[in-house]
Amino acid sequence: MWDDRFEQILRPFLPFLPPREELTPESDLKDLGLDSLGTVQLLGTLEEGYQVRFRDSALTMDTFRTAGVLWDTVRGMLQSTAS
Amino acid sequence: MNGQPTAQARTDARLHDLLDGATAECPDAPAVTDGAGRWTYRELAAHSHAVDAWLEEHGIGHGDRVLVQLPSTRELVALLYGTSRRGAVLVPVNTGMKDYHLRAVAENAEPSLVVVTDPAVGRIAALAEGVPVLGLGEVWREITALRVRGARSDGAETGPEDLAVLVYTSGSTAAPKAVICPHGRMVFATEAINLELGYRPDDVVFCRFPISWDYGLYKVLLTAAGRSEIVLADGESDLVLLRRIRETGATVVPIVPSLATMICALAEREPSRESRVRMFTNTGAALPKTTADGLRQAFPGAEVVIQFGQTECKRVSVLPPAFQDAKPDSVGRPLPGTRAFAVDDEGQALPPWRTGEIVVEGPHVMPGYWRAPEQTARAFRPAPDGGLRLHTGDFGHVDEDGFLYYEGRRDDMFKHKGVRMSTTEIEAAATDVPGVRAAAVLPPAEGRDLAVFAEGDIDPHALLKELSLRLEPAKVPGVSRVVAELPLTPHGKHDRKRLARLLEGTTP
Repeated sequence: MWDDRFEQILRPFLPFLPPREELTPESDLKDLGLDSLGTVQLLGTLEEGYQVRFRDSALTMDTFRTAGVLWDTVRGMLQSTAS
Repeated sequence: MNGQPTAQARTDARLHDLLDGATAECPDAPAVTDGAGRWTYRELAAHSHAVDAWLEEHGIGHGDRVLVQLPSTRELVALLYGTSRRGAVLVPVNTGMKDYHLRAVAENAEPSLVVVTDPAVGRIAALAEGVPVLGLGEVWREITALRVRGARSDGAETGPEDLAVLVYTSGSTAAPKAVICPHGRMVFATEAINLELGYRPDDVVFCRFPISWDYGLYKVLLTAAGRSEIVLADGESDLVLLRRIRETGATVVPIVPSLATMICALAEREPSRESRVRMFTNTGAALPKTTADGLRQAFPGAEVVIQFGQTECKRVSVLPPAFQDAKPDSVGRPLPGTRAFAVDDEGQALPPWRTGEIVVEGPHVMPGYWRAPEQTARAFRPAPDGGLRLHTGDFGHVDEDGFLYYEGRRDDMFKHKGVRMSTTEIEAAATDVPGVRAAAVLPPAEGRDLAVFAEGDIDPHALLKELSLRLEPAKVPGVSRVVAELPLTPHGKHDRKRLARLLEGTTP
């Protein structure tokens, strides 16, 4: 799964998710209240938090569909930064 | 005097006259672009004639309502103009509108025909009993065949007073209500707005809003009036907004404050690249100065034009850039050929700087709400000099030059994410949720998001999720609280001051 920071960044953008309820990789972010403005702001917050940059090809709603897909994208960028 | 243009907007034209005018003048100029392609004015006109002929084949005639719940694509633009040619009435509803409201709209509009996306046919047919519900895929194949043959209808007698569109909007009631929009008044509003904005043949207008919203609808008409091109970008990912604005060569970008915030956030990621944008036009809610400055910084040379209005007259006022420094807090001057001013409780015009209800008179004031005589009588009253006077429900004043200043609402209406809504409709949706005994809604304010308070046996996050099933996204509150008992005023109304204090507390 993901690191703590990822969940700390993501949760404030999910108003329908109760604080004590688990966030799973399958969780649909839109169902949990992630809206357009939230998506754009989340993008900036992730890029700043992890010092990464989403490629143009990753700038689709699919990338932000579920917590799992989003984390995979972030992790992929972290790995390519590290290598 | 406030230096208004001297040219005049027409009051006697139909919607398709705008298209035909553009087609006659520049048939091969780009008219409309969506994610799948582009049509010239000649091609758009040909498609609109095919729509007219297709509607005639399906027995649609003068005054019949054609309800569409479709994404904003070229096909929808052709349906708009084709319905206009037919003399029928287009009823465009938001693709985000939920069954909960859609059923009410279908009952109220009584359409003769419904066109939706193919996967929605079954669901919508269940809502609109006894009305033919067709999928766009099949419809468009038939319309394409008619266009290939160059089919034309036998024509229709349509005048400026005939209805062109019913625009459903949030009212101060639980159910949506429609503003009646006749041809002549829509064309007048369009041309009057363009006297202020000045769309040109080399303009590319980037429209992020759906045609079901009057903001998007009038962008279609305005681009025809300006012989400009419209880019329909409603269905696209907001993550690529900035790139699409640059790629499409957009010169004009209509915004609401939340869209402007997104554009600014994206521009911070990709600063200072070339763009052709010359003008942002704002409506929906006041644009914070920091956001306007952010836009000007990200798009050097672009102007930010402030506008003010409501569907009931399309637009009240525009603040031309030349006046921005002198009148930074104004929402503009009334459209050319119209009047807008503040009145007291007796309807007497108030002198400059005195606050009262803003009223509007002129050929852009619509005739009323569809099948809602009481609400119509309240908002649309006879003007002392003839015609109608729209009581906007907005409070404000004018200055000595006739420029308007908006101060707030009289009733429970407000705007969130640029969309007009009422506490009543959100409270009605909340009490529809199982487990909720009573609900109160607090409109957003400085430092405070739109909030819902509920009494009952429900988790606050579950309540938001349930609301998202019943309401369009913009109408879903950002904050939800479940309380033992909703505070009431001595008159038995929701005590919004005490609700606001609950939010200042630390309880999660």
